[in-house]
Amino acid sequence: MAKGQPVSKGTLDIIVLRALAWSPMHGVEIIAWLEDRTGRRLDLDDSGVYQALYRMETRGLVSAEWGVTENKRRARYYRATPSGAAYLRTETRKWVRYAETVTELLTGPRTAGGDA
Amino acid sequence: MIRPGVRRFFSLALRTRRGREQDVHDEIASHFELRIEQLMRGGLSYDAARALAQERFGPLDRSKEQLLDTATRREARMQWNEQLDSVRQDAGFAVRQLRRSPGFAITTILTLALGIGANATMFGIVDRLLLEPPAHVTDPARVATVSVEMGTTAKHTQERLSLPIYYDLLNTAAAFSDVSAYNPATLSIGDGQTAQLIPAVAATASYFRALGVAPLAGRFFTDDETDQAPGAHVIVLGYQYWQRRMGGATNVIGSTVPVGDDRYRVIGIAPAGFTGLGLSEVAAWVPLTASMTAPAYASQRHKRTYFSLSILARLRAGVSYEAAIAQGSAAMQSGALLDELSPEEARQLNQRLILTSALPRDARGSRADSKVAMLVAAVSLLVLIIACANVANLQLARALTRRREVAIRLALGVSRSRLVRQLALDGLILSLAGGAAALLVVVWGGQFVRRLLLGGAASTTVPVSWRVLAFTGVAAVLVGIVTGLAPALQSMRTDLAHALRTGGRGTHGSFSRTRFMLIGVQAALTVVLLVGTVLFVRSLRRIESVPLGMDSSHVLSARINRASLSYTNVQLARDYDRLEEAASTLPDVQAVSRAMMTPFSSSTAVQVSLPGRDSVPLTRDGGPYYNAVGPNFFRTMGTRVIRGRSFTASDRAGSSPVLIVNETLANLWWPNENPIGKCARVGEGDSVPCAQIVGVVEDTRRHAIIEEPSVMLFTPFGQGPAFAQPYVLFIRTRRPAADVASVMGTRLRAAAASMPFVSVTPLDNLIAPQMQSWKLGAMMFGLFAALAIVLASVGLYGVMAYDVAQRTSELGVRMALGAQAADVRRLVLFRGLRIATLGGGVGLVLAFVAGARVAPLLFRTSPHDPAAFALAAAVLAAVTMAATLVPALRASRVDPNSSLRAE
Repeated sequence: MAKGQPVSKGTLDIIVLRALAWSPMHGVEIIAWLEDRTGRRLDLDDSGVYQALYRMETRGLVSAEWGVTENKRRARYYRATPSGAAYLRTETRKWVRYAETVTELLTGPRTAGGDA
Repeated sequence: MIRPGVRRFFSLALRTRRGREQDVHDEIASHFELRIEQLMRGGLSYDAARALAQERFGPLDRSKEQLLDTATRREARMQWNEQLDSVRQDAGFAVRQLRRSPGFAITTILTLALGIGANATMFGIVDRLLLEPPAHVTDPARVATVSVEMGTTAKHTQERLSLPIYYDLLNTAAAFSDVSAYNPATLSIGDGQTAQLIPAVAATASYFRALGVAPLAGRFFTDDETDQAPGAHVIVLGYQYWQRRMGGATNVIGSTVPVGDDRYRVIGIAPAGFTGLGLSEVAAWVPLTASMTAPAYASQRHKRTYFSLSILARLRAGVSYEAAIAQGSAAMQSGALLDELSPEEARQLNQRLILTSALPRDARGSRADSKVAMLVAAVSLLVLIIACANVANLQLARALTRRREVAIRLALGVSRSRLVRQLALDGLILSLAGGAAALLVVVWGGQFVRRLLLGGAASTTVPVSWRVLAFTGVAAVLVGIVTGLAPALQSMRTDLAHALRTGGRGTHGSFSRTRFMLIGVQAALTVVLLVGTVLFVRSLRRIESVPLGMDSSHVLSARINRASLSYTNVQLARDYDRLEEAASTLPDVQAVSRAMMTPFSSSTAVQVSLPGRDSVPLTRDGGPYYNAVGPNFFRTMGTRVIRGRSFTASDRAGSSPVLIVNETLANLWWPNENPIGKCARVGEGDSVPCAQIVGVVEDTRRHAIIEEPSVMLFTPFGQGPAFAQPYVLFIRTRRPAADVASVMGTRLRAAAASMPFVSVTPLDNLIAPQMQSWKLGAMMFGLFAALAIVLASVGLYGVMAYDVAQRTSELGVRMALGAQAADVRRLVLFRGLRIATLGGGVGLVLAFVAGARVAPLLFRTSPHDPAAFALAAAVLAAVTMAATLVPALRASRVDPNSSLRAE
């Protein structure tokens, strides 16, 4: 199995929330979305996604209810709550700022920092 | 967002652990189905897809366990949130409901504020009196105040003791690690016109050691400074006084302050809140001997019966109270023998010591006013019960009007438990609001009660301590549960179909039974309070009418505060001469007289011998007690001269020696004989001339309103023993002494400007504390009974008015069938009276049973005094009539036509 980048719990939560940003999804839909977007570049078990969903359900960021898929199979559908959406916005902003800072540091021109 | 109710509907299956497991299991199964389906859509065979799905999922057992774990936590959290959410919703609903009936809400909150407030105030007082140990005193259980049991059978305790007893305990009783003699004192501090009187304590250095207190700044006294006369002129300031007058400046230590005519050096500051063993503020401490001359000290040092000091001691670790009492008593008795006292004096002092620990329940628990405070605190609970009954009644009435609403909600499927919770929450919100309002009652209304019950200690008491706050909170919650739950449970018995059909009107049997029962409870408790009030008022009347042998209400005592050592006895006597002269010219003054001892404050025994007799008979209270007085003394005090004459200006040093004796002495020493013309030697030694008895006066009190009569005699100044000195000037005023005390003080100080500070107080101030417990009982019972009457009559009125309104149609029918207005009025009045009679009867029985516990607190009044019971019953009947009258009148004005048409 190809090992990708490990993902921290907090990051996984935001990613899963991102998946739910537009419409409710069940677990496999979320996983499929993730694989589609990342091309399996992240080291992640399927069960990890459920862990993230349960965790966020506890915190009131997502809510869940049983429903039926297009193929008439029973599945648990998750949707982002308003506080989940708010959480996604602030965490995304933080993440982008962090990534920009680090990227700039790592890739920017090395200016002489001695005598200012 | 999914509403909690809907979510609950979907998560019902999650309730149990098994359900939760099932749910996780289902979700995993569903995951595999969907995942395999998805992978097969990508072109894999079923088996390959299945293997891949398993691989991607991760280790199944571990993951499943982790998921279950998270699910459990999630479920608990969600349930809690949901509960909270629904409670919040219910609370919001309750508040909205209450806003819709503000009259009900305000009445309820006020009622509860009074009930809870009265209890919280009383709790604060009992806490202060009986629970809170004296501040800064180390191990107060081992600190004891010392008193002596006087008399052989009478239970009179001598609380003021003498220097010789102090030295006996100090020198020979090893049971005590420290013994201290001290005295409350009033110091005039400051210069001239700005001089102020402050409450102080004059004490030996061992005082602070015995109490185990450390100074906040500086130091306390050394033994050298206090154990010889004259003592050092040093002063320790109380924290409050230091903050108030000196702004808490630390550089005051080492500076000097004017005290009397001298300057005292400030050596230390006592820690904040330290008041010795008492409760009232002490502004300063000075050495016991600071204002004592060496000769005065030397003479007191050997006067065993010069009772002028308080003594406290610390028991050595491991010594029991019994052992300490035995040792202390032995020390005191052997000291008395060594002093070569007269047999009477020796016998009188051959008594046991009493040690009272500084723990509040010992130090104050046995005092009559503390017991009354406890009783009143218990009684305040009755007020709270009455208030609760009222609130429960109001709630019931409201529940009745809400019956239709309740029925509809039940019919719509709201669970009964949720409904009960909602109604209980209603009560809780009201009682918490009532509790908050009660704190205002404690702060404002309680001030009066605190001043009444705590006296000087009120100023050192925080109105709302954290304990009072906790008490109020707990009381409010309990009251809320009690008053809210009963109506809630009642309304649960609602017969759905019936309530819906009748629209909430119609029969209301069990409701009205409960409501009338609550009124009965109120009537019963009100009667108990009324009986208590009458008993205490009668006790107070009786104690006030005990003959004291003087008319104290029109007597002021003026005292020259001598605080300078250079101030000699000769000067003091001269200044009292001048003060007497100045006082007699003032308006409103009828008579003035100097004296040595002040009744209710000090007394001294003297040696008396009769020619031809070995000893003189005495009462159990010892003596003979002695006072040196001026010519107008008996007129000034309002003491009747029964036989012979009073002293005159010509009875003075050098004139032929004369004596006036009291009735008890006359009857005891010369039974069935005329004492006038007999003679007695007053004082020690054979050279004392035999003084002739020229008058007999009625018995007067020595220290207490209730005490054994004692043998007492009087000489004019200049003729008695050498130690006879004027220490007080009594002034008889035309108007009540309390009214003119401050004016008289100002005038006297102006007239005697060159003298040390003159303090003027009504003689009644010395007597009042002894009547305190009855006065407190009468006032507090009266206050609470009044509160109870108001609450109970409001409750009765409410129930009767409601009852009439509910029975309008029935009354209409009766009137249509020929009942007269008077019949209807009588019907309603009787209904009210029947409840009052039942409740009142129970109350009288309760009062009768409780009487035994109150008996010791009453004075010459039987707890089963028939007059008290009759009066209480009469008041209840009158209040019932008054409260029922308006509803009865309204009932008799029911118009049969309109009431029947409304049906």
